[in-house]
Amino acid sequence: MVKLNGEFFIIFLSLTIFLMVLGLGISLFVVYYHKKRTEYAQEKQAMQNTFQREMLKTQLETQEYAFHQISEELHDNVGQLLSTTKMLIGITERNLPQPPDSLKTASETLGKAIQDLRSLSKSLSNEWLHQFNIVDNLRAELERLNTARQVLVSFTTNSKTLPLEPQQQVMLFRVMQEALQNSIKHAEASAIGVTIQLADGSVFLCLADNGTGFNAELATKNGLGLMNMKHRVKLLGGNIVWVSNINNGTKVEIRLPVQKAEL
Amino acid sequence: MEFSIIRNIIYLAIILISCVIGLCNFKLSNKVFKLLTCFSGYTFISETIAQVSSHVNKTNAFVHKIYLPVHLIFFCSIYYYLFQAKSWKIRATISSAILFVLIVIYEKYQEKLVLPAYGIMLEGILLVVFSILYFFQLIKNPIEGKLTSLGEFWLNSSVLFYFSGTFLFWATFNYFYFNKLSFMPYMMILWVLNIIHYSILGLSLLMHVRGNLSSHGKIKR
Repeated sequence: MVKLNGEFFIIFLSLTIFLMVLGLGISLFVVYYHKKRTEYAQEKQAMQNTFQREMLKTQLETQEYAFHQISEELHDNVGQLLSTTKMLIGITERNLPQPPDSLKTASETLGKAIQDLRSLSKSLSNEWLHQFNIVDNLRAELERLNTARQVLVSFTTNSKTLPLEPQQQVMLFRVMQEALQNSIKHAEASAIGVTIQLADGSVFLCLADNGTGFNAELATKNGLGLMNMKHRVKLLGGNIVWVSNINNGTKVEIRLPVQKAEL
Repeated sequence: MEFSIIRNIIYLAIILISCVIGLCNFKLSNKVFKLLTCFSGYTFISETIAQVSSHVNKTNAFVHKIYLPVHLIFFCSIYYYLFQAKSWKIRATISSAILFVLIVIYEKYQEKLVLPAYGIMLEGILLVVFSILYFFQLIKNPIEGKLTSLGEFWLNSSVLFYFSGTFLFWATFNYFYFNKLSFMPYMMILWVLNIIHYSILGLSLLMHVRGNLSSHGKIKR
């Protein structure tokens, strides 16, 4: 019986050790599997991001091409027609002994239309997009808002340019435009402050208003516009945060990483 | 009531519960878990006959001789569907077919009242290899969900545990048998292994169905 107990104990112990080794093996598998899955998920996410970036780039290129075509058409065709018309009005005006006031007004209006058309054609042209500078364009946009006297806007920056691709700057500009529109239309703000800071390997953009504010947590989950902004900033590799409370204004903070060599 | 009878009732009850879980969700299950449900049912019937036979005829070796090749077919079919690569499927089929023939020949020339221990051991080795290969496949192609909520993971872990354990059990069984030593406490190990195996198989069936239901009631795979 002693012999049996000893043998049984050895066998039982061997089995237990073997099963423990197996258990350890499975535990190691689970740990390794999780590591692999995380890597796989990161790879997949990176691929999705690249794909989305490429999609966006293609969209922008298509849009850019369409804009360029419109720009050329406006400049070469409609612009020429309007210029010819203005010239004909001028000739008529000179041939008439007493040109009517309405003709003068028509000539002036036509001149303004030609000017507007030229600036529109210029803004749609390819060159505009290739040389896009968010700081200049944002400043111009804010000045336009100030001139319209809809809202009092202030702008501060420590850099004349940002180390980002023109297309990235266009995306960022659209995000800032959306934030400005939200402050004016939805938050009914009377004062807005915009800041661009370039430091420590990152670009920091901030828009603060004194508007009605909103429930940031709820709106960022359901609001299509805010989700779109979030998506665009994510595509740029940055993050966007809304700090807001009801009747307490809103602060939109965007932080984008930039290569230190580019600074 | 004798302890061995209670033990057998618990064992059969666990197999039956696994089978019922599988049957309740048979339509939602994929081929792997449909096969597993059928296997649980088959095991329940076989084990019931084996228990009755061991009480009436004092042997149940003939039940195990029929059970073993069918058991091999079930598990090889399960792994055939679990493997994604076509080459693995072919290798699994060929190796299973060879083993099936070997077991049938071995059982034919074996004494009628002796359990097909070597056949069980050979099957155990093959299924352990399949199980390791499936783990390897999981590492190569990770799934998106949580691993522990994947029915296949539990099924495979159970196969690895059980067949490694049974291999060791049958490898040392003959020593006890031929030396006419009392191996009743030793049989407890097999009973515990069986209980764990069928409990985990039941869990895998449950996990599979829960996974299907959580993915909007649609079958994932």
